[in-house]
Amino acid sequence: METYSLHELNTHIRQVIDLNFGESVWIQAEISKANFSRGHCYLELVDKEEDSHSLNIRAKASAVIWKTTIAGWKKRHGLDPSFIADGTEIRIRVKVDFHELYGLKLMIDEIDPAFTLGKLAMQRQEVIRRLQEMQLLDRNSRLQLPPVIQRIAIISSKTAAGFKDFLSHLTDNAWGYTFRLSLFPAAMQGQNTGPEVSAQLMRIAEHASRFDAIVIIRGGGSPTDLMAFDQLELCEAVAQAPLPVLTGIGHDIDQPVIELVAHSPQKTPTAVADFVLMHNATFEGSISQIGEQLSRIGRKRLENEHLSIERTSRLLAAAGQARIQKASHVLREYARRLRQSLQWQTASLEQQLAALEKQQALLDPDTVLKRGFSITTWQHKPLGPDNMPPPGAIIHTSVHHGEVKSRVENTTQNDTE
Amino acid sequence: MTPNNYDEALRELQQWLDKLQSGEMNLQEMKQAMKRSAELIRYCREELRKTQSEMDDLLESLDGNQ
Repeated sequence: METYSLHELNTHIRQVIDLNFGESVWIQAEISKANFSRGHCYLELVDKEEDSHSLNIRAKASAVIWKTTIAGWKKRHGLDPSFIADGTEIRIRVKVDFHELYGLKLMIDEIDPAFTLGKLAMQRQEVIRRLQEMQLLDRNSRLQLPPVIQRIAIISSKTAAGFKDFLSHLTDNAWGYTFRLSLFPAAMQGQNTGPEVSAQLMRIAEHASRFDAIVIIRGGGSPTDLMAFDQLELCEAVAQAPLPVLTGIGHDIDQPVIELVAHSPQKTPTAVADFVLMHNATFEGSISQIGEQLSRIGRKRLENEHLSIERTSRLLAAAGQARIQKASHVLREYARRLRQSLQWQTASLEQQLAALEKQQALLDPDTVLKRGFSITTWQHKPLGPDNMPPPGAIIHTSVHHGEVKSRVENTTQNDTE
Repeated sequence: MTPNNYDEALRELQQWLDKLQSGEMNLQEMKQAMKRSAELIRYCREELRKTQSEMDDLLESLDGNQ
């Protein structure tokens, strides 16, 4: 039997392949490993067979996408090379190439963007389903934002345009609000995005008490560039973050899954800045509203007090009036009694005086003499038991019309006296 | 001699009347007593009238102030 050299064999294989694979063919495979080197992308493609227990690799091949091809896709399909990631299923057109020294290699010269993106969408749905299963979809949004957001942990890339927009928009605000911002740098595009952002989320979680909120922002990019923000691990990290996560990662149509788990997803970094400013302004507004309310309540209260004082004083006046009326009634009564008692008193005095007057009139000697009585005196004193004249004494008797002078002959004294 | 007040005048009047009633006075004395008691009665009448009038004025002013 004839013996060939390896080179002869490989040359033969190459000739057979060249003969049979003159044209490119479309295949479907999954990227198991992707390496970029000097702009070219070296891949390991696999084909998995699904059985009831696991996925078994049933075919494997090395492939390459040249730098120029990648650039062409970006230009024609808007595809960013970041979609070339482990686990992505793709439909590609390959030229089968065999080299005597390097062996079999598939040269990828075209991609079916619709298929790839469809696959991505399916993956996205799967991630959402898993998050729902773990009850992580609304975990972060259930966290309460503090009334004022001031201490912000930013996950972004220092060089990203979006980051600069965010900073200038936030710090250059009309209200004059100030912020304490800390940047936790991470890749915002490419394969490292997911792991780096997740790692920074972990770091922030360790110092959660130093911050009010986490902001994840990046500049614009192609839809496939957002693939990292659909990754289950990253979305899990966001959902489980101890602080509310605000996102501004810029997208057109498809909402990345990160926005489903974030507390407050905004379209762009500047929108995040606006959200923070409005949040704080709302608080300030509510404070001044409370102030207004307080002053309104105060004014109302004063008004009420005023009314109540007026009412009280009216009542007092009325009560005073009643009291005065009552008192004046009492006084009138007193006056009446005074007048009455005075009348009684004077009447009684008058009566007394009249009696005395009458008595006096009766005692008037003129009246007595007129009635025929006489008054006899001896030694200028009326005659009496103590003033009895002896016989021979001269006595004087006064009568109404004159006086009688007499000499006493004899005196007798009544025994009864 | 004008008495100091109504009561004093009344007391003196009573005394004169008592004396007059006792019959211990001669005519001259009786005449003096009568004169004095008449004076006292006048004084008392005048006092009563004045008091009555003052009281009326006072009560009237009280009525007016109500």
